[in-house]
Amino acid sequence: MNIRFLQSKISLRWKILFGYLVIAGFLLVTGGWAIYNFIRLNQAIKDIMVASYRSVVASQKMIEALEQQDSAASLLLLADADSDNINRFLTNQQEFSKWYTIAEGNVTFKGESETLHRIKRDYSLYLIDFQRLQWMAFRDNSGKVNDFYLNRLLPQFAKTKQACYGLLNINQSHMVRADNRAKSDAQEAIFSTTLVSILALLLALLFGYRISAVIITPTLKLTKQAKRIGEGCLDETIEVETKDEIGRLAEEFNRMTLRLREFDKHNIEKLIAERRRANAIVRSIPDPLIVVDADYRIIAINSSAEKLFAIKEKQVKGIHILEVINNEAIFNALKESAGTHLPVKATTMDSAMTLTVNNVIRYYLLESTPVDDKEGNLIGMVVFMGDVTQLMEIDRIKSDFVSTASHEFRTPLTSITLSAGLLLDGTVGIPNEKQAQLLEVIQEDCNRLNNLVSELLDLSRMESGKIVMRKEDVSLVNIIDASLKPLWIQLDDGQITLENKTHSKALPMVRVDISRIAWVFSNIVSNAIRYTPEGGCIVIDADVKDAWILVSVKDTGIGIPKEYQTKIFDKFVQIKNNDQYTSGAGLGLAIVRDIIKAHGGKIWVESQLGEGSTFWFTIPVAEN
Amino acid sequence: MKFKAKILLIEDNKNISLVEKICLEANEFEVVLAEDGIRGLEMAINERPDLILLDIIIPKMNGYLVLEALQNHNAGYNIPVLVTSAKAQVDDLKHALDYKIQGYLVKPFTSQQLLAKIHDILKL
Repeated sequence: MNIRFLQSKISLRWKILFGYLVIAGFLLVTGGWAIYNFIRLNQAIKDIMVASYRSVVASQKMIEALEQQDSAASLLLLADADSDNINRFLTNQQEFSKWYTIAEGNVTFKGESETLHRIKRDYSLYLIDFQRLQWMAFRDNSGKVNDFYLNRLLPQFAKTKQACYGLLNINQSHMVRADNRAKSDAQEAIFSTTLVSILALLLALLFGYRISAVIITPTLKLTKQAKRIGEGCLDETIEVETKDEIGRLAEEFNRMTLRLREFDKHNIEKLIAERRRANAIVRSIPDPLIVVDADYRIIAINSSAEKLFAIKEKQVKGIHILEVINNEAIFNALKESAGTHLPVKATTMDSAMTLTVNNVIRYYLLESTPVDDKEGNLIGMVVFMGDVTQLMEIDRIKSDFVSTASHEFRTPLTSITLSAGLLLDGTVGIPNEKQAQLLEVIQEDCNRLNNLVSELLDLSRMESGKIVMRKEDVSLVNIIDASLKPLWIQLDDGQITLENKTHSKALPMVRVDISRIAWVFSNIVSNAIRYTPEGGCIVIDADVKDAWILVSVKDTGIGIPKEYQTKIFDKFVQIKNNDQYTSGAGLGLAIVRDIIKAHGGKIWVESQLGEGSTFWFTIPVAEN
Repeated sequence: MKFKAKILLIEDNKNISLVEKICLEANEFEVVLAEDGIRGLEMAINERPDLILLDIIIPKMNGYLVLEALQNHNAGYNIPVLVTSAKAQVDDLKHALDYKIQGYLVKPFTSQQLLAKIHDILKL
């Protein structure tokens, strides 16, 4: 197959057509060959039929005529000059002439014309001889007639007959030869036509195969390469070998692949940039961070984690976390977030896990977050180890400080209180009135100092998360009643009425730390008593709001100026009131707020100067 | 003079121990004083008091160790202990309650509170 032909711009259609034309050509050749052979055979037959057969018949007829003539001549010898015989002789003479003419007109082969000349000569001589015979017979020379017949006529007859036979032979042998030739020609024709047909068939098949290959091969190639590209090997290009439709298709395909490659590369570059950025961020986080997949195999760790566990990210990628870091706390945090599909966070210092690194104990608050894919399936977890060692240290120092400080405060307070008490109660002698007053002052202020220390301590510990709330399901009414008990005296002293509306309400159980909430009530009510003038009243109420109980403590006190209404919950804030002598330190409400917050609730105040204040707060309803 | 009971005071603060002594003696208790843990342990064994008033924070051997030693010593085993401590040591108090103590007082306390507790423990 001519390569140039393949690469030419001829369209595929014409290439296919060309193929068919070639095959048609083969068909034509085979047909032509067959036709040629038919014509040849026809010729051979014609030879037999037309040329020779006629001459053969003519020869035979001539011989027949001759024989008749001879028979007539011989009869002449026996009888008289019979007119029938003579007629017979003449008729046959005509017959002979006729056939001779036919034979003459049918001269085809070599020697025929010479033979015919001989026949003519001999026949002429015979005729002359016959005439002499006739004449002799007429003169009735019987003796000489017989002799003449035997010696001249008969031989001449024989000669002529021989010459006719000669003609016959020529034609007959030609006939035979023609017949043989026809036979062999036919065989040859059969053979050659078969051969040509087979050849033509083979060539046609071969050609057909080649042409289809020419058409199919590039198509197959295109398909194969397209498949590879489809599978993702975007670097492949299709070799364009032809300029026809398939070639053009290959070109377009290559162009498309190039565009895909560029797009892909662009995307990959973007992804790589993103990945690098994410990696940089993760690596730069100062606290250890570990990322695992859903099977707890490590995907990534940052440099802080590498340092802490003395491992390298490259070495541990793909390995199950427990094989690398045998730490139950970390694994459990991951497991929990994986199980609940929610972030899991350790919030209090108590739940910090410890790790001993270089003989130093470090504290970590673990936070584990699950990572989902678009459909919400878990693809991995991230655990963040917040290093709270410093905080723990500070906390420890603080609580040590707090312990130490409170101890330091309380020690002298003990001796002062005891001394004042002993002096006052007369154990070492009864004091006079003035002495008693002075001692009372000492006692009161000692109490105040003591309260201050207690409150400071409470506040400090609550804020550091050290206070553990012991929450129980209780009835709110009971807590309120219990906390109010010690205050009845003060209420009486101040002639203040207290109305507890919670008795008449059907309230659900609350989930609270009893002593702390009791403290809240007693503190708020104490404040109310303190700031309400004589004859006033305090109302305590509560209502259910969703999962909370909203409690209110309303007084008819002096009220709180607007600018203080949020400030009063801060530390050491007391509203300056020269009339009142307060023993508090300004920490009570701060502690109250912390307690309420630790229960998840809110606290605020509404107040009008001169009319009174209402303290509102929420506490959680017990579940179930 | 007949004393109601003998009380061993283990307290390092001079003022407190002075005041406590005055208070207790005025209420017919015999008072012996130790200023640190080691001395306190010694006197607990030698003086055989009826009650030990023990401050947790004391030098040389802190209150817990004294308690532990007392429990393990067959002579000190039976003496009731009243512990005093500042409130900040509430958790420490829980620690102290692991040992067998008969009561605790949180500083500061009044003489009435002190006497009431002592009478309670000694069943006077």
